[in-house]
Amino acid sequence: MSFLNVVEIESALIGLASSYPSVTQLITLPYFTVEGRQSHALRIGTGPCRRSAVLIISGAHAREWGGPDICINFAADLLEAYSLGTALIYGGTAYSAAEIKSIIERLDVIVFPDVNPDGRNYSQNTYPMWRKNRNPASSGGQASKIGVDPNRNYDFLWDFNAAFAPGAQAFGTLASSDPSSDIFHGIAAFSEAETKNVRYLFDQFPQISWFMDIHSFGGDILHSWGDDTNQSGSLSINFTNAAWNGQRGLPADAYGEYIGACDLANVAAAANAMKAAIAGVRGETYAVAQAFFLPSWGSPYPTSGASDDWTYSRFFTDPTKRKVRAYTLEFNTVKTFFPTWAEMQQIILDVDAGLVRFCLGAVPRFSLSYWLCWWRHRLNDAIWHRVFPPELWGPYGPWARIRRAVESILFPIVAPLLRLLGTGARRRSSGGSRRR
Amino acid sequence: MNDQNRSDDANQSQRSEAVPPDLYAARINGSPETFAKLRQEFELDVGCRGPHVEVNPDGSGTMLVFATEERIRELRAAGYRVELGENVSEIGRQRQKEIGEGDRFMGGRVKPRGFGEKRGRASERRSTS
Repeated sequence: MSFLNVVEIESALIGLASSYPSVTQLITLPYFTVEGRQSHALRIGTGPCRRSAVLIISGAHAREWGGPDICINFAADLLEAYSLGTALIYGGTAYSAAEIKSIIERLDVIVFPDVNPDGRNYSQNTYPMWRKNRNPASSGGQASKIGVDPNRNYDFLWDFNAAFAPGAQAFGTLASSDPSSDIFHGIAAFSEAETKNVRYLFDQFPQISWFMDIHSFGGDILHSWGDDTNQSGSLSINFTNAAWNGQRGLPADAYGEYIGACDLANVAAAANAMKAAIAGVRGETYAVAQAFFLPSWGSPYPTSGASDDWTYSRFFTDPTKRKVRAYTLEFNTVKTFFPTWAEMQQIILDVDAGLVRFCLGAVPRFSLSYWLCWWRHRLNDAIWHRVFPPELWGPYGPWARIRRAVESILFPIVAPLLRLLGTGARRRSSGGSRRR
Repeated sequence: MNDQNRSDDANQSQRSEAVPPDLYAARINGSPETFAKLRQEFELDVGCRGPHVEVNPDGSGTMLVFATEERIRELRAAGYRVELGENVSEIGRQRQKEIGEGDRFMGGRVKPRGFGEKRGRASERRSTS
């Protein structure tokens, strides 16, 4: 056994889709990387209507090798346990067959394991410490300036020079407009195929309500927000309010990013449940923290253009979109990018136990509408479609053709009459208005 | 051209490019004020999201950064107490030997299996988490 290479990650997704065709959908992502690779994601789920979906991504940073391996193992475990009807056990953390069934049948789990395959390929074959993608567009031909950090390329306060206080830049984690920097944010938000593919998934699956971006290292579960301190007092103080430009990213000042008190309690509770599941495997202690206050010492670490903040921000930018609880997980409590494969196998068990817990938390708890919907489909299949077969009564059946033929004859006669009636009614109505 | 061949070609072209110098784990000792000054003076590779600092018994902190030998010399010249650690690029090269070769899933014809234990039809067993 060994770390997956970029070819194997895609093959694994294809293999899972072909092995479990009734509960998976292989999603071919539309944006090719600069080296011509096409990525895939896998949707896991069954049932006629789903109220919620979870998106799990990894591999954005090339040198953080274990993320895609975690995702592939997680998907394979879920699918195998569901198909066999068994419990799923990770060390001291166990999930019953009923719990696995509830995830698969009442939720969509979408896994995008390798966001940045070009970078991973370069890291695994040439320069292990490579972090960014391999886009040379801003390099001017210099190898040292190749690449964009995908996790600074999302459309959340991407223009950090305008949005953040000058002092926030000094923390060294915000972003950079220098292509030679490891946190170069690109030439525009969503300029990179890697981030466009993530956005595509959100566009295609608007029911996504939970998001996890897997990174390493540290042993941290980070929740919103990552740009500034949280505050629940004033909704008007938020990232969309240009009046606060130039003031974000510093602790203990007037600006704080708005998060509802209930939301904050919920996101922290879900992170703590995940932490407990991870600890149950073999005792690894992950820390739960707001991303701005990444567990460390002495100072905050603001970020611009990060995946978790963009994901959570979408609801505030456009309230017609679902609110997505967003997290970043930094796996591996040992501070190295390169655990041995033997160590990585243990980490995979830890994190996958946490991911199952994360998905269980995302399963809709209030199930009345789900069951009504489910029964409507069942009744449709069992009774209605037998009494009125769609082949006969549907929009392309013979009765529809007859109906359309009758309509085409009657419409030229009836339409002028309807127009006359409508005009008369409007005249009476407007006359009444004038009298008022 | 399939993806395996494309990645092989890409590897050959990448190896011929100028590869960045090796990075070392460097542990810098200091106070929060020291680290604030350090971050203003140098752009450092601190890991994924932010720096990792361990608190020492004497109240000081030790921050882990990844830096070239040249950068470590500059840090020391600027007066910072830097302990040179392992060559993380070299560790990465060692780990490259633990990466899969070819395609163990044969383009999707072999089904992946996860490491989690699937036990019985244990619908009664409840989560311990």
